[in-house]
Amino acid sequence: MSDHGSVPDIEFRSASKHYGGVAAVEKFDLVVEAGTFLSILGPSGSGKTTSLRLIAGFEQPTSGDILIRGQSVTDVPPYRRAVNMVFQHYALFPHMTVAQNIAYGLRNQRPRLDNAEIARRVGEALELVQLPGFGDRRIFQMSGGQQQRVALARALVNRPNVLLLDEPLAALDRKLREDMQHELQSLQRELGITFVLVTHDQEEAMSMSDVVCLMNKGRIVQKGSAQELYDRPADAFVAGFVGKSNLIAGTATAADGTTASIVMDGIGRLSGQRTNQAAPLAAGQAVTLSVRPEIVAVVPSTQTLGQDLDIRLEGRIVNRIFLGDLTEYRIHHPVLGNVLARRSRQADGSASSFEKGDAVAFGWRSADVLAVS
Amino acid sequence: MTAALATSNEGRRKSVVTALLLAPTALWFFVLLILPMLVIIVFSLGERGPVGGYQAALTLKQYASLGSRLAAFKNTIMLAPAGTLISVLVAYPLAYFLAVKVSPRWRYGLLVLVVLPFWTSLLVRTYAWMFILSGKGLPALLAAIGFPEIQMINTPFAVLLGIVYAYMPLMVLPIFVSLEKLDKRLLDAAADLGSSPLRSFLTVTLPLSLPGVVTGSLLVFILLMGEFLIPSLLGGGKIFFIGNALVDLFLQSRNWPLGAAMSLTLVIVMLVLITLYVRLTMAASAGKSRSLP
Amino acid sequence: MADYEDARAGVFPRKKFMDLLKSYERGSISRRHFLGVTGLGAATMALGGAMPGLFTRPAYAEGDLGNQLSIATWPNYHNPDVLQEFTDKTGVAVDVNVFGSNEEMLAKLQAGSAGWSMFVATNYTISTYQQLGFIEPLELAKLSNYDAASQAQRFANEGMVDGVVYAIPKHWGTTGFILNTARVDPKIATWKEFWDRAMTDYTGRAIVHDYQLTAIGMALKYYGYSFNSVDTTELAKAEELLMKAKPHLFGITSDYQPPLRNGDAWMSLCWVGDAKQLNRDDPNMLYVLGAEGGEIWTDFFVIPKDAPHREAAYAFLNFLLDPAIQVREAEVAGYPLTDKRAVALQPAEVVNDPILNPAAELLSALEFGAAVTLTDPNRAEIIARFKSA
Repeated sequence: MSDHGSVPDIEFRSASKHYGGVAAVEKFDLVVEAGTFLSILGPSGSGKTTSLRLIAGFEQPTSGDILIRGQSVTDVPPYRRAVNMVFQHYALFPHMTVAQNIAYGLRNQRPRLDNAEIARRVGEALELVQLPGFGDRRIFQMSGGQQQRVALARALVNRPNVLLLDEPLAALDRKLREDMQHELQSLQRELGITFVLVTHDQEEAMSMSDVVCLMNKGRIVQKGSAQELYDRPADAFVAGFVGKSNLIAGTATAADGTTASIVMDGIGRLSGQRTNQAAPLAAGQAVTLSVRPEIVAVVPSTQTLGQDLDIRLEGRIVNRIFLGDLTEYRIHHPVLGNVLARRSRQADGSASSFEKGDAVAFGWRSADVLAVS
Repeated sequence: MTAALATSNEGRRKSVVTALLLAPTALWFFVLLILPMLVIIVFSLGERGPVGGYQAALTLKQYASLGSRLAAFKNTIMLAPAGTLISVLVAYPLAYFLAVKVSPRWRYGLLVLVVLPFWTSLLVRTYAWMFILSGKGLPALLAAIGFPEIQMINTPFAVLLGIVYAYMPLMVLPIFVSLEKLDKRLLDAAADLGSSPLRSFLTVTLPLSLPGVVTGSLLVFILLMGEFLIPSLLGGGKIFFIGNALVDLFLQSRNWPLGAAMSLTLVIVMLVLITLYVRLTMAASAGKSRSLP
Repeated sequence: MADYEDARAGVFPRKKFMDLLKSYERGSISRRHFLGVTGLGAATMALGGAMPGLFTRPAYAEGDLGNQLSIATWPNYHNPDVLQEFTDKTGVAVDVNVFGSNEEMLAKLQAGSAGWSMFVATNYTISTYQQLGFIEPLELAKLSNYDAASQAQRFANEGMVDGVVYAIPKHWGTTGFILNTARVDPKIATWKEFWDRAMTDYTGRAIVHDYQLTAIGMALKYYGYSFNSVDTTELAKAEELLMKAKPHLFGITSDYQPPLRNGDAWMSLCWVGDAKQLNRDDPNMLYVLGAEGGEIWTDFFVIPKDAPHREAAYAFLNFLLDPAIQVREAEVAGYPLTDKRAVALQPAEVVNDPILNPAAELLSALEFGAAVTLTDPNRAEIIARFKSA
């Protein structure tokens, strides 16, 4: 929302949260502009849920400060914060009906809302999440997907400045999850309020959010659009976590501002484009090359790879996973180990298919490889 | 054909097994519940024998003379619910503290402490209360700080104290269980939706722990309705429960028919009260959130 | 104490605790009250009956007596050393079931199959037990220690029906009232005064037995009626008095020693054994036989008809009738004896104790409980109504 001008909806200022000396969140600095769909992505234990609970007020920062709409909320209890949360497993009140669950927050509003107003807004919220007429149902009568929507309605009905979502789709099956991803995205656009979503699922984060904030071990590793994270991973962790990647770690034999090279026994020189050109890198320092599966070309060993590929290797197919439009191959190479390659389906479908045990030639263009430090 | 035969044999064998498995329970119910009940019904329609006991008859006069034990009924029907209510009020905060506030490391150790008194006979513990509440106990302490001449023993207060003390663990345990299995995220959700801690407690914790309260109350209430030890020791024979009246009728005055009529009446009174109680609490827990202010 | 412990081992797991309790408030668990109130007499009964081997000890001499014997009696009524000695001599272990009142024992007998080999009974129950066929004439030939001539006839007569001996006395005693003269007027000498003062200046301080015979009997005495009256008009007056007094009473209990000792109660109906114990520890405790009269009683041994282990029961009874054993039993129970041979062996201060053995003229006004009081439905109902009011 732009009516607050340039004041960000949420701001972490060097916020840390320690549990008995163990840092769950360390020196967290993050600005979430109004109207953003932000995903906090990270493996379990990375501190992403803690950062969300810090915003909601269930946890207090050990040091640093948190601001909501420019106001420090460190001493504000959760029930006085203008944010609402969709909980993992929903945390719906089992002793109340759907309508009572949704009305729960409205009944806490001061000045009081009259019953007609509450009923009207509950009805609206049910419409919004496409559950009209479900108000009198008991929670246990609702399916997982429906409960998800009730949880969403229960939070949104309060018209919060910020909606927090803690792994909201984790319990849903794949089809439903994809539908909900689209719905959440369009809801966020429709309402224009800030969404902060916590997830361990990189696809979910990438597909829905404007900004992805990747966390590891309590710290922010990289923040940016999904494409930035994919194309210019800040380090090997990002490259490995965001999208699939073949990571080849080594010691830089040569490096300049734009490229870095390593030498592997039995292969020779491998090189890639540096993603973080600001960071100095000298020969002798550790560097990791990230080879995305989609840049790996594969042909039968009897054929020759395209002329544009400067890296040419040979291996044997050890596994094949059919993904519909794509096929993923695991190729064994004596030095690199297993290398992942993805081939899109050919129009005729003929030559693209390899079987387990097939000898293949594979390779890539060094210009497509990323070198992360 | 053979297959069909086999399955029908199978089915018959299954039902035989089921019957065998159920037989002990059925026998138990019949011998220890139904049969004694029938005996009590028959006895309640009889007459006291010339030297006591039972003499066959078909009369309702035992029921007609129940009025002579009105005070016992009144005491029981006043003090049993009062004792139950006070038990809830005392046990709930304790159970809440144990289930919610205490760190899990200490929780079960402390819970054992709650149950610990059960390891000693109730008789001994009630005797201990007799000494505590007698003239040389608490009243002497109160006298020392300027409240002389307070009699505690042999009063309804002493009986209430005794029964609350004796039955509180039975109340704490079910409430503890219902509070402990309460999903703490629901409280986060309530706070997130703007509820102060007190309001979260009233709208979420309390209704969701109500099954524990109901279970505990029923346990305590049913036992209290049949209580006789504590009133006779701490009430000095002046605060008489139905249980005392029954002991008296069977063990002293040997008026079995009147005792049977009283037992039966007690069972009916209890059924009515318990039904009412369960109906009301269930209605309350269902209607709780609807009637929020 | 050990008989008590044995019988109730499951209830008081620690003997230590009971010893402590006893030393703290000696006599707090009075003869009749404790188990009567708790129904534990019946409970141990069931235990003994269900598990006959439970109390068995290795037999020292294999004889015809078997190795087990079950008796019903009052709490604190036997010398544990005496019981042990009997077991050592014969190999017969004595399983003791304690009861609170004669009425409770009668209830048990009426319910059928009590399983006792011997039990104690107060004088007013003997004829009823005989009529109901609960007891049998004693085979005196098996009781070499019994000497009819040495028994005080006044007491022994109550054990005979139509000249046949059904019961042999264990102790005799009186029932009066006790006054804590530090708190109440020591000149109270009549039942009339006892009741009147209990309802006026000593309101909240008096105790009445939880026992039909004495509670109703002493209320009848207020009007000068017979202690044993079953006259409906007289009983109605007695009930009226009881009901009127109830709000003024400290309690209705036969366990009156603790409240008297710690000052909660100042006066009470009292059995002589309790009176002796109270007076021994506090000379202010004054035992009074109401001028209008009161109760004199004898407790007997009886053997139920078709008693199990009958030979062992006779052996045990004969053992207990040995004058030296009687004296040792009396040392624990605290009540006077009826057998002149045993009395002769007792120390002079016991025999001449004015509480235990009041002057003959004081005794003359006392009445033995009458058989009719045991079974009279009105008396049973009045005491029940009094308590439940």
